[in-house]
Amino acid sequence: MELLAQQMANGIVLGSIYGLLAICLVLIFGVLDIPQFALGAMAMLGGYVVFLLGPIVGYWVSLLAAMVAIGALGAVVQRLVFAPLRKAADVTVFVAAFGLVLIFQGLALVIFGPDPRQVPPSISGSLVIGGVHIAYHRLVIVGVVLAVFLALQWVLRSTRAGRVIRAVGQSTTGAQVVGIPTGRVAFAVMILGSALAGLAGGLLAPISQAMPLAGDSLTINAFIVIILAGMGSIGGALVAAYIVGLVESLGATYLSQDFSQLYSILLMLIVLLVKPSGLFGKKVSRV
Amino acid sequence: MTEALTLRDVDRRFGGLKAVDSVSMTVSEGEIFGIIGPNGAGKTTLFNLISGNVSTMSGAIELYGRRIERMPVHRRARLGLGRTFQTSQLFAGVTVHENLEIAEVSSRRGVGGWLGSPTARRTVEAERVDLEAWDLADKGERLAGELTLFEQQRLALAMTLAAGARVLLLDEPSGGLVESEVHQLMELIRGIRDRGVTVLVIDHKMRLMMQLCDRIMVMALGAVITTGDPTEIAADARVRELYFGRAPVRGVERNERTGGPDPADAHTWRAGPTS
Repeated sequence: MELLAQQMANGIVLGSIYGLLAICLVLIFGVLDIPQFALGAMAMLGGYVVFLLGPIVGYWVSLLAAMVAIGALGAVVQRLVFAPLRKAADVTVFVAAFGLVLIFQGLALVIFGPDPRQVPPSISGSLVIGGVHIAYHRLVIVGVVLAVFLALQWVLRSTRAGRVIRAVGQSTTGAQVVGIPTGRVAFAVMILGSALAGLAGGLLAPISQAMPLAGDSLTINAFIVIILAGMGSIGGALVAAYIVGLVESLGATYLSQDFSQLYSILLMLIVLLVKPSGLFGKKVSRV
Repeated sequence: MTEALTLRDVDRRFGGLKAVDSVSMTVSEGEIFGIIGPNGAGKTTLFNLISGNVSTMSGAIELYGRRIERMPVHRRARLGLGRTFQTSQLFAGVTVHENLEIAEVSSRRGVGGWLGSPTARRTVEAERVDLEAWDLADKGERLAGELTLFEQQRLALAMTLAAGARVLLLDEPSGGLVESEVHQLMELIRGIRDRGVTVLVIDHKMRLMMQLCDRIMVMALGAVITTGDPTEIAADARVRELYFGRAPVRGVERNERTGGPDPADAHTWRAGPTS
């Protein structure tokens, strides 16, 4: 029973990180129509920012620095890569996004080497409840992701800026003709999504270490999450992320560690067979 | 009379096809200006050039004397150029109120105008857009995607005014509407003009155009054939040839050669029913 509770706690933590990255993907895909495969690699770079700056300025300031640095990287990527490809074929954008993954991984490999780097947590120690040990940093991860989710929900639903972002996501042409600078909105969303990826990487680094390939499984799982959830809902993405985290954690414990990635993929396939629009996806009629 | 919109020698080519060929025109403030022509005449491309959805290759476009042909779409919109499309470009997943609010908010300069709670709606929206006037009073909380075609059309018109349009481009506004709705639409467009908004309209329903427009420009193969008031247009031999061939035949449903717009007889364009 303790093992089950322990693995469920781990699954929620894992799901929180996947959820944060999935929310970034939903935001960016919703507004820019770009499957930003490089977000996982950008999160990995965020982990290295915390690794580098944490010992000097402390964890929290380094986490903020990771958000700023990766947000700035997102701005550069949007300006130099995706904006010029605005009218390019989908496959070109796909290849560009994959190219970015290779570039970022290569950079990390050249600068930091292949070995994992240990990153100290935000708070040391663990909370023990009924024999279940939960590191304080893991609680921080769950709390921060929930706070980010609630803040995003508020911005998107209750502010004018949020409605403008949703408008651009629904009809770029319609948004332009009522005076919305869609290019600037897209730029801002890419920066926001990238900064949140930096946050995800900075949060994850203390529990998984900083290493060049750390972003791969993040990206794969975040895409599984948004396919499982159905595109368009950040709330649905977060719930689906918890499900994926739990399935992965429990599957690795009770079935086999070797196939931990496979369980969530199988779940995704089953859901797609039963409900092709995803767990929370709705058929949206176009006007 | 103030010139609201002026085009001088505007050109647009797609590969070897001259979609818009050296078009010049002037529309006065408060005018309802129609553009007609067979399919492929370049009417919608001309609208796209004016609104900025397609860029010009040469020529000048002026909105109230200001050159706009190099401006992006959103800047033209902020200068008062509104537009509706043949295929609705409403924000289907949000409510009627939210659609209007997005249009109203976006007309403000800078991100500063976008911050703040939407519940604190400025009175501007209430002044500019009275939902009752658009017969949408009980639809405020409905999703735009759930509205009927005519309701969507009315919402699209209301949104252009909420966004502060002074010159409005209407592309096939009567498309898919039934007879009674076309009559209502005509009254709505006249009402918009009465607010001081200049209206340019493309439509294939010829009687609607003849009854609604102050002047009409006829296009074919990207070029302007003639411009005049509806009576002149109905009597113009080149226009009659364009739509009916050399000898007008009563009762012909559609001109097969030109893909002409309407089964209407030129003699009844102005006085007859709208479809």
